[in-house]
Amino acid sequence: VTKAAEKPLTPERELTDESLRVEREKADDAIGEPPPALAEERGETDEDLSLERARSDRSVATRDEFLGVVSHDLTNMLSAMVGFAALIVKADAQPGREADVAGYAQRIQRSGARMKRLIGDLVDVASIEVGRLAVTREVGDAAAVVNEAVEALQPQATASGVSLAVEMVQPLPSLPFDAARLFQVLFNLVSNALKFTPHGGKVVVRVERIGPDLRFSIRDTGVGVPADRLKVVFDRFVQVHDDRRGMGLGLYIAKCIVEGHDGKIWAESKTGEGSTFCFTIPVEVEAAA
Amino acid sequence: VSTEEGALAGDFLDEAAVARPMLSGRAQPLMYSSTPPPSLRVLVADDDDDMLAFVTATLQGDGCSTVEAHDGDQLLELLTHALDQPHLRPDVIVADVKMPGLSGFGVLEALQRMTSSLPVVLITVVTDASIHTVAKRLGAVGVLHKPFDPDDLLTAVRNAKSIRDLHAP
Repeated sequence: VTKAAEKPLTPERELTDESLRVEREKADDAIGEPPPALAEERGETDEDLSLERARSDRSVATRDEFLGVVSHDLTNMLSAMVGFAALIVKADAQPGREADVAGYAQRIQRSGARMKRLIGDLVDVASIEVGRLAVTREVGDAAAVVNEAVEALQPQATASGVSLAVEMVQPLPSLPFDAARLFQVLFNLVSNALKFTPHGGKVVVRVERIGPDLRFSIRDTGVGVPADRLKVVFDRFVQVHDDRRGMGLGLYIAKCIVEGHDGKIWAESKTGEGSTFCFTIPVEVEAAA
Repeated sequence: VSTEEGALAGDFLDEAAVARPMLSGRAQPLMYSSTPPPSLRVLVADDDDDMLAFVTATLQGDGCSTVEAHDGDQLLELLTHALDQPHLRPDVIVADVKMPGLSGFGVLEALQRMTSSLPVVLITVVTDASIHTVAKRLGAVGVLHKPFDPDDLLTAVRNAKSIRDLHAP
């Protein structure tokens, strides 16, 4: 637990401790020597309180660290935008540098898009926390969304020297889903797979009907996920690898969206042998109980 | 704002060195991407791709040649390789402070252990002034706070090279 995390809570905790002590003194005065059962109960209360405080300290520390990372990344994106804008101003004064100006402008667009994605993720996490992540389902063709997501990521795949392919096991049924949210899940999972797959590797997105569900699998030939991480990679702020190549939000948001569709999401992997991220969406919406 | 912040690079730069003319004209390295002829060879490390692109575009626009690293470990790897070959040896290193693996401070410590006199300019999002104390203690010749103006980066890099030349045995 960091000192920064403890600091804002300390005066409040001292007050709580003091009022608890005063209350117990009053009780002792009223009933005389406290019976053993009461002493035991107080011991348990104290233990619960300290456990709860430790948990809260960890949570505050994680949040502080997360805010630090968010502000670090936002400052980097903003600095690149401001910097490239200054380069445009400089180049604009020199004839014959039109191509440079266009390149700098594209860089600004790219940083802006990264910033928009990060802010979108932050808004989603805030919505999830208050139980308001909207999932609006309409019956449609999920294959079209898969193709759209893969097409959007094809340039990233080409740039990293990774092949990106789609396998559709026909026939695929129409089903109710939120197209924008499904795109988001696929985009997050496929871009993650591309990020952790070295040059020359392969990422395959497979869609098939299995029983009552449509199953989407994103298989890669990347570095794999360590066994102890498989269960927690979908938790908030947890990164697949401790290399700060992300915020630990993408998989958490994906999980919440899939669960918003009454589906399941999981990861299978062996370190060094790549990994497969799977999720399901039921073909029929269950009637509300 | 950026100009004022960029001026912080002068905090521990030798004022006299600023007036010295630019140095140039050594053998052209084949591995450095550049607009020929490069006046300076600069090794740049930042884990943020967009910032890395901005720093290299600024330096290349000024005729410098650049080699890019995405973290401190990669920077040291490239440097170790370059030190064996005089025509690849960089004149200046520009390194981000917060990077996965080896940080900018880690790079400075490694250079000290290697008894390397290569001048390092740190770039950082950290606004805490104490960073200057740590950077100076570890031998950095300048610190730029992001966001900074391209001209401030160029000034810091040129000054870094001039100072090291002044103090060279």
